[in-house]
Amino acid sequence: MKIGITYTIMRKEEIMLRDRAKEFGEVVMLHDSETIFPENFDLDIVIIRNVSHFKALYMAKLFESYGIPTVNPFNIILEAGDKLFATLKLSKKVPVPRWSAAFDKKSAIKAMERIGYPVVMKPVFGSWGRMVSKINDLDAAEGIVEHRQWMGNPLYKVYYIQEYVEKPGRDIRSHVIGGEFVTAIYRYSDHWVTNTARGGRAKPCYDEEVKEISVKAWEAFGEGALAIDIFESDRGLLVNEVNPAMEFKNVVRVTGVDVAKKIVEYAIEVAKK
Amino acid sequence: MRIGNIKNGGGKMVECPVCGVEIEIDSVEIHEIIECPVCSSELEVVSLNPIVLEELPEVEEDWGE
Repeated sequence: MKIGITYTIMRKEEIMLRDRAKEFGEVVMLHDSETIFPENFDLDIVIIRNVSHFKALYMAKLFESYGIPTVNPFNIILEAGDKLFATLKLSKKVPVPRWSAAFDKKSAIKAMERIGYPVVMKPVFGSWGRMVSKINDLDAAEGIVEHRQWMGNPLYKVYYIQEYVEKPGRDIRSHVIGGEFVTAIYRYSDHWVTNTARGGRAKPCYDEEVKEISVKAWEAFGEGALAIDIFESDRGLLVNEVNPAMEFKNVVRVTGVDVAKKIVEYAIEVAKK
Repeated sequence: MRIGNIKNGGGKMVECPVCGVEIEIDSVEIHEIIECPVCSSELEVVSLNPIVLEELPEVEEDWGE
């Protein structure tokens, strides 16, 4: 078995994946600076680990075009990696925070008023809580929309808005790989953004309801390895978003679960299909 | 200053490209990200033989999970 791993930077996750993959065959590390298409790649499977969403998306498409399956595949990176596309998928299977989408500064303000302040506005792409804004009133809404109007990237003119969900000082991150629930953690923070990439603390989460909703969220996509962010609300559990390029070093540290091994085993299974 | 697992005192002295301090490094991976223990800059290992460090580029807007 020849396993490729695309990457941009060698995080602890990529080191763990490479070391696990070596147990299953030959590993070819494919750094951005050394990967050129077209090329005759002699690979059975490629694990896509570029830290850039768009590089990951294009890499997956290119490898798939040569008949080499990827984990995650192009379609999953595309739809799980866009917060609005992901919401459309998720909302058919699991409860999600109330949301709205608009494409103009006037309609964006109307969309926020429709949900009712406070709301959360986040870019449809990106991660680590970057540019996720809690908007408490019309003044703040007008300020954020004005900034978005002057930003160059056209995707910032897609206004994706969510209700602000009051959380009990934590949220939940779970991992579902190939339909199998792998593990979950609580992420604690005094800040309303609980992402561990922004310093949130973590503890293991053993909750059957979390397991159940995580698998259902995965079923909305039907394949791949997904990290799922869940809120506890007065309406029960709500799936906030999914992540197709999961980071997991904190999950491994807190739970002891070998997430890298699970991803590699899943990739081998995909390669054999 | 030491980074990584120093075995038999075999670490290599490398200059931090940001603050200039000499740091002793061993057992790093190509394209691994390390943190300078003095100035806390994030540094990328761009070469192993010899070890060369460069300051990690600014996080780009589509980086993440």
